Amino acid sequence: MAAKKSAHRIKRVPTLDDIFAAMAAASVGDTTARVAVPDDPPLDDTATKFAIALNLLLNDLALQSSEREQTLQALRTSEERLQQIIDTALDAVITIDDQSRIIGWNNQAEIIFGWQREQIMGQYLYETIIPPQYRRAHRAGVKRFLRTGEGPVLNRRIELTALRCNGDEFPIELAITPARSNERLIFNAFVLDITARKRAEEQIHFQANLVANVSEAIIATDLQFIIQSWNPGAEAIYGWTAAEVIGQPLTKFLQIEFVDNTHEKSVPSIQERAYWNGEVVQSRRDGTKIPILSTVTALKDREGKPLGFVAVNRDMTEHKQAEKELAEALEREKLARAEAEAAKEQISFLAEASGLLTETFDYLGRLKQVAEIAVPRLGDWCAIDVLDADGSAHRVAVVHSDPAKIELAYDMARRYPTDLNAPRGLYHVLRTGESELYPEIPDSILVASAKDAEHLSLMRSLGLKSAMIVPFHARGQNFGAITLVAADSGRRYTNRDLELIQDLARRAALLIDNARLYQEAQGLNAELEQRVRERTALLEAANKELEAFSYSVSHDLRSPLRHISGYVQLLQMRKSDLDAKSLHYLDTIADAARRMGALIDDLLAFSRIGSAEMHRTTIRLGELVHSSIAELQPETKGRKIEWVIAPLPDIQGDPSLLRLVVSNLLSNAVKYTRPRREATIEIGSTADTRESVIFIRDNGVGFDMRYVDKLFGVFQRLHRAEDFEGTGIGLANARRIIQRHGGRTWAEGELDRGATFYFSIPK
Amino acid sequence: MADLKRILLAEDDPRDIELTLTALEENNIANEVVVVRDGAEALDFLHRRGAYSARPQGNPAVVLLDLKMPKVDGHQVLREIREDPDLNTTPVVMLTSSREESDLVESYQLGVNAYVVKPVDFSEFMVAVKEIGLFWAVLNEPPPGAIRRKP
Repeated sequence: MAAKKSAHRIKRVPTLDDIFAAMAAASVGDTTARVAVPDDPPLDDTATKFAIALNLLLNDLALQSSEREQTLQALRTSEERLQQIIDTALDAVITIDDQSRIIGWNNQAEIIFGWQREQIMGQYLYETIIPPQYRRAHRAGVKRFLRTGEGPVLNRRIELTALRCNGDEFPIELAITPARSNERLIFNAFVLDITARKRAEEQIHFQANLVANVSEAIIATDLQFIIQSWNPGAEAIYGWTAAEVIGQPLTKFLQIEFVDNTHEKSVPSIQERAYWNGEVVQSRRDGTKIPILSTVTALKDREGKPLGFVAVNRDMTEHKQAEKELAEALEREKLARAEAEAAKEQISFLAEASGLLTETFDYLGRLKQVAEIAVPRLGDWCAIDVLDADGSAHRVAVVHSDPAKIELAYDMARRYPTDLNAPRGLYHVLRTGESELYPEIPDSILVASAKDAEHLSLMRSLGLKSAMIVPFHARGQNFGAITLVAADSGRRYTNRDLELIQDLARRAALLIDNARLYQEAQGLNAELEQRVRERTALLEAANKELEAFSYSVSHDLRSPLRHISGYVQLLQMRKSDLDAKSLHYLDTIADAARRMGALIDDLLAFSRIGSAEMHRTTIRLGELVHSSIAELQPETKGRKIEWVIAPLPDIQGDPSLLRLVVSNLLSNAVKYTRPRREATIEIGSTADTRESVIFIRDNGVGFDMRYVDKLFGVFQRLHRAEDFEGTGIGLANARRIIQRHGGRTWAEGELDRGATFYFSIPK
Repeated sequence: MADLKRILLAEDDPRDIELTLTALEENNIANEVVVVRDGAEALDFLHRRGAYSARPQGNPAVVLLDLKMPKVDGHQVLREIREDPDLNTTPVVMLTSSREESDLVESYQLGVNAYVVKPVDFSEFMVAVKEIGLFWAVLNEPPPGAIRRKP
């Protein structure tokens, strides 16, 4: 039964049911439930008394409930507001319980760390956002706080790093405060992502470092030139410390001297363009002046309002020093290079000139070439003079790079011939063989040597500045000289130059000497050759005569012989008319005639040997011997001859002539062993490096060694004609032939034991 | 031919002539032997001129030519013989005492048919002459006589 709204309209006394109904309604939350009680209630009725008491109670309850409602509402609002603060905070607000489980995670935490609330709620802080290196410390810290109540990191701002959801570590500023919530301990952490701030800090730190570490002085002043900043570089350069100068006027310390008139430009420059750059000279604390390269810029704030000035000054002392040294070094290098070039030129000239001075054949031409290559490598002028054998000098070469100057020189030489007896100069050098060096030819010398004003002006126009005259001296003789003059090229001859040229000059002297000696030798040779030619002509004439003679002999001598022989035979044919003695005489005559014929033939052959042409070739001696033996077959037929032939070498010579020798010796051996029943003829050879020696040994009748000299004579015989035929010319022939081959012939023998004949043939 | 094979002997030395003729006789080489005493005569004979302009026609079967002769020597005669179309086929034997190589060379170059060196030994000489004679004047067929032209 629904409670009535207004109890005072009811006039009846409340019943137990009404009381229970009201209690029931109130228990379910109806704050308006009351028991209806009349306006004037009987105070002795228990139910009424109970109902009035209940109504009082219910009123209280309703009031309480309404108060509670209000409190709850306020609480709720308060909570909401709190949550809003947390949610809209720009810090990440993270709350963890005493187990480090995450129980609070705001929007900013989501943004900073990347974890979504749903993902991370309930997870352990040290498994998520705390980087590994801090995890232990975190858990230990929590435990400590729980135990001791101490937390050094709590309630203050600290800087750490944290992990984003993707694993990146980044710097954070952290404040942790402990709190109680429902008797449980919780920690609230307020986290700021300070990545950007850190970067900015680093930049500033870096720049501050720069300023501190550069060697340049960086000075900042305000608009009144009061020093605001003075870096270590400035301290080093100028000598004052920052503490000494900051807050003081700049001009108290730095005296500035402007180089050139740049200072006039400096102020306007700064005023107009907020910039000036230039070299100045400043003084240090100790007074020394140093060159400074200064760059001044105006300092402005963010709105462009001028704040002051910044000067960046570099100490140029070292730089200037380095510049100076570099310039000096370059200068030295230039000089050295020029010297090296000059030396190279000299060496190349010497090499070339030496190369030229090797050919004696055209030594004058070569000397000329030397002069040509000397210009311009060694100087502007070069002249070479040669002394003839008779002592007169003549100029072999004059070279100048400008032909007009040569003309001039000749002209001058013609008009003002050099004094041959001058104490200096070319002729003196040629006479004495002493070099002359004029490193500088001052005008005074020209003046002294000039014969007249025109001569002087001519000499001047030749532009002679430095000269040297070096003689060609060798074997105590002077052969000439080389003159080198430098004019416009600016070179100056030194002792070193002189030494180098002297070496060359010696060579030139030797060349000329050699050439002259050679010419002499040539001349002598020519003479000799002429004499040889004459002699040869004579010999040829003699030969021709001999040939004519031989011809004559062969023809004219033989004819009478033939006649004698002929008529004798005719007579012999008339046997019947002649007696025995007459016939004998006729035989004798015929025989004599025959022998005379043989003699004539041999003589002719002998004479021809001298003039016969020799054809030199390699002869196989073994074959020659064998074929000669074969040719002797008529003589050897029917005879017992033992031939002992050793291996014979090859020899160099004329085959037909040597065949004559071999034939002759073999036939002699055969002939003179005729009395022997068994003849032994031995043929062998020995050899050394120079010649081969061949011998033919027989066991024939031999000869008396007393007459060995006669053996090889013309027509000499050691045996009687009736014993052994022969004209005695064979060995003479052999000797002559061997002689023509450059060899020797000799023999050994013993009467009745045999003979050995030797001949040698050079290799 | 009707002519007997004539031998022309050109030799200046009378002894050599006698010896040669004797040698020929001894060997019964009965040909007519015409003897001329020098090269000029030889040529006159061959050309049928001068003293020999009336000689009967016909070239000799062989000319025995000595080298060393006065006036015209053997080589010159040989040269002329070989250069004359009427005579150039005539066999010529150089019969000389010279064994000089130059003479040999010259003779053969000029076209001699044979070159015989007179042996010093007479018996050998006889043999040589016999053999020359037998060969050239008996055995050998001389070239047919050239057509004569009246000079």
